[in-house]
Amino acid sequence: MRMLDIARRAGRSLRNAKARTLLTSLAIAVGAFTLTLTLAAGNGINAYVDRLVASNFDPSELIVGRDKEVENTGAPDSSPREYDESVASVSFGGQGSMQLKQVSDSDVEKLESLDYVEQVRPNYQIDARYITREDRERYTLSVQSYNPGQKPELAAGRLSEKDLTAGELILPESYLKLLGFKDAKSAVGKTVDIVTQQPFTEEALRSLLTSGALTQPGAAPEPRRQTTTYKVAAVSKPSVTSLATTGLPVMLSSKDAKQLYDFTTQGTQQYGKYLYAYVRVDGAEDPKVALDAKKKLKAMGFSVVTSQDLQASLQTIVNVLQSLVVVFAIITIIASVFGIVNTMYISVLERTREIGLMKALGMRSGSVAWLFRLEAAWIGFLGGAIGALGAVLLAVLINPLLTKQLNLGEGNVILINDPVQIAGLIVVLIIVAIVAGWLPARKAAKLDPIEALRTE
Amino acid sequence: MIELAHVSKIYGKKQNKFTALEGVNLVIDSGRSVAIVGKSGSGKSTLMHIMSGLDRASAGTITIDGQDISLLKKKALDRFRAEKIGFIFQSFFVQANETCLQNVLLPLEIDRSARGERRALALDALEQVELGDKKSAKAKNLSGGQKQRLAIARAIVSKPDIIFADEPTGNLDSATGDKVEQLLFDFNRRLGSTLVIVTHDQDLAKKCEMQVHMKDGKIIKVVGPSKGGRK
Repeated sequence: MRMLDIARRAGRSLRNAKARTLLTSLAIAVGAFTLTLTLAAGNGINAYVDRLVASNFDPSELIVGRDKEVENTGAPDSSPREYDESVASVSFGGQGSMQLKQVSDSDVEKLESLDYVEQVRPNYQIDARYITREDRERYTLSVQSYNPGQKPELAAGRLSEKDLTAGELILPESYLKLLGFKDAKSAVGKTVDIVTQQPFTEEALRSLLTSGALTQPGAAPEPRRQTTTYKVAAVSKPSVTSLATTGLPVMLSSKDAKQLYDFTTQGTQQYGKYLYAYVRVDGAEDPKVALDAKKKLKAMGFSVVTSQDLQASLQTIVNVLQSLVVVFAIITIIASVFGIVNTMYISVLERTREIGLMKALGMRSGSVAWLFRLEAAWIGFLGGAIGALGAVLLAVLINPLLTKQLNLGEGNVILINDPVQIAGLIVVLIIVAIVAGWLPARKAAKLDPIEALRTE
Repeated sequence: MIELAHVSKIYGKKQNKFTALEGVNLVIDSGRSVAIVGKSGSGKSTLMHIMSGLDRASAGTITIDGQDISLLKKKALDRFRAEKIGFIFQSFFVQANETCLQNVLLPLEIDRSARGERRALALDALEQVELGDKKSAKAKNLSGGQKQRLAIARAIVSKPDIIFADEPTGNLDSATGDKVEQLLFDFNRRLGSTLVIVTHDQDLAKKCEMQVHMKDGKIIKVVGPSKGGRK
């Protein structure tokens, strides 16, 4: 008997037991539904992570540090380490501080001298006091050096391909009203002031002592402050995939950023040291080039994180969660396998005479077996299709809601169904069902036609 | 031609041993109508199963048109049945949930007849048993006589050399039974298929050219134009 004819007969006998077929396949459908949804969520989250990394990290920049901890994106290792001059204390918000080897100015020079390095941008952690403008209140801010490889979304103004001009800054949209600008356009070209403060160091204390300023009653040492005036070159606005939780930073040129960093760290152990530096490598958008540069830099004793590493570490979290759900879905499918086995055994028992007749008419045992295996395959297909369809429908229904809730931005969805994935899933379920139907099919194939036809 | 030589069939082992057939010799010429008669337990059904290749003999040779089917492997025996034998059973064994057409198509699918010809062959067979108008009806909605006619259509559709009918009228009233008998003998004459009927209905047996009487697994009497007969 030809496979096509067997498949058609198998399909017909399923239609004659609609309720049983449907119930059995619903068990698989539950697993298929969960798997489809999980895969879709995985696709969506990974796509989101990609966008997140792409908009927050410049793929042609490598994060280069001196300490192995830079590469450790998980929990930091806080065991004591050998001291050298490059070690400095780094505080983690709320988690205390830890001592890490830092990148020094001489490291920066060394990196800059490498022929494949285009630019080195030390990570200036600038502790600015406030930003203000004539006749306006003072407001807190965070400051970063501008990375020309990664332009922020602009509300107004223009940016050159290179670094910002010294004395210019990019002002986040959120400061417009506070600093008395009518709109983004009118802010461009105007000036703002940023005030920084030098920590109270031993040196400052000594100069106060020698000048005799502290001998007068009621005198308190005044911290040294610096007010710098910058011209607004552009106004930035938040992007939907920005990782920043504290709002957008004010961006300065590397030169200005270094000046502020040096000023605010003067006399401290942080002076001239950076937790890491962003190193732009020629053509590092290509993961191969980035990996190659990473190897070379590691050979020089640096610790390196590429944007692929960041992406991978973010995706690891997603993948772990995803595998958990997948495991549950697989357990559901295993449970449904017993349902198929049971249904198929009942089907074989019910159709003993039919099997006997077909065998009497000369149908081969192999064909009889396939008749039942294909019946199981139909159940698998039906279950897979029902489950996947349900998941796709659900995705279509709740995607707009999730996009809104998670603030993903227009056109971005969290549940992405991949037709190839779904087809693959259904094929796997068909194979699982065929395997489940193996034993009942064998029982059918082994039936003796004379015995089977004697059943009254 | 069907030739049986020293055929015996033993079920079970040792104490439970039961001899269903013992030293059966029989020759049936092609195209004959033959009745195998005897009480239940006489071995007539077993003889039919062995002649039709449904069951294997414990000893002896069964030669059909020059081929010893006791030597055939399982798959070859399946093909032998699919190509050469048609079966009709007392309880019809039609597939209740399938349509008449689908029932008749089954043997054609099994012996891998060309796809394009199947439908025409099946419809023709249904016409011959006067069920042409019922082709799309489910078999479960047919009357007993119609079901047996459907079974006949299924048996003749692949143009078998031999048709075995096991108590074909046993479950039918005399009127519908007569119709079924009429059809069977008609095909026997028109198509030249050998017709072997297992029955204990003496009237039906008398309508056959040849009667083989069985008792306790042995042939006790053969009436009719047999070249072999009892040895």
